[in-house]
Amino acid sequence: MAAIRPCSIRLLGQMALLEADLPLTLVATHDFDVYADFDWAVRKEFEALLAKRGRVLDPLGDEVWMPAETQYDLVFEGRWIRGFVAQPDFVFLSKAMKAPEKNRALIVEVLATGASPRFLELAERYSLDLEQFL
Amino acid sequence: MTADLEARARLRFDELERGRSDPRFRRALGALARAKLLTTTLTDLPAPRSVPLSEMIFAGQFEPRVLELLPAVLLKRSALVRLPKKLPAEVEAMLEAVRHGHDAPSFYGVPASAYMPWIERLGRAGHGKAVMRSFRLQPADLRRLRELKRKTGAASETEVLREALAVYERES
Repeated sequence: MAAIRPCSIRLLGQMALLEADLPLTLVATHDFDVYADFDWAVRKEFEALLAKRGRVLDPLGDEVWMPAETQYDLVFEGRWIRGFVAQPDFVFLSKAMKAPEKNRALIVEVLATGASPRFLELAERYSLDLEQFL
Repeated sequence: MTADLEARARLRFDELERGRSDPRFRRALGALARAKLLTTTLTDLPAPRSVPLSEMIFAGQFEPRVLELLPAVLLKRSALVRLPKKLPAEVEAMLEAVRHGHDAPSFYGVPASAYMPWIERLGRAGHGKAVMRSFRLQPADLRRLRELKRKTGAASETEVLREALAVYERES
């Protein structure tokens, strides 16, 4: 077997929000959206680990739009693999921009419980119309 | 954020919370969570083995992911949903189209592109039966297959081909 190339896995989407343990009502299907530059062998192992937990890797995860300035928290650092989770404000923006209807409840809850200044700044920068959620 | 925006968001949030505390919503979510089709931060949900179709549709008004999953549930985990004698026209149209391989219509506002992948995923739970196919490959193709298997650590040459097809599908 070939040597493993160092890689990173960045968790996005609803699963990233669940990982952040936020005081929000979240509902997620069992697919994992990730940005990853892993080799096939690592991908297969990752898929097997997810399957053991009843999760599936979304084959279209790398098509998820995230803002260019997205910040990620390092949650795992192994010899070859580093794992990151996207910070919630960037995930909220991604969801509000790309699937507003599906994520209406989430964005309403974020606004009602006091959105962070960073999220509001991002919304302004990306011309996100927050009124559409109300 | 203006105080006005936050106040209006709170009103909308209260409406949402009323819907999400409705027993129909909680039963539908609980059934899907019990079947390991959804994860949620909601706690103390009932966990029925099945719920009426009307409750799934009701829950979908507050959580679109329920409607995204519902076609797959109806087709692949039908024991989860109790059907009425007469199906709603929208459900009937979706089932008819999917079963006969026609263009699938949108389902309570959810486009087919959002719910069709779940039908495939749930269907894969038990893995489909593998079938034999013969292809004539050049020696160079075989060498390439063997080399890719070695380089990637794939379990078999079939797995190399399966992954190559997935890559081709993703990129085309």
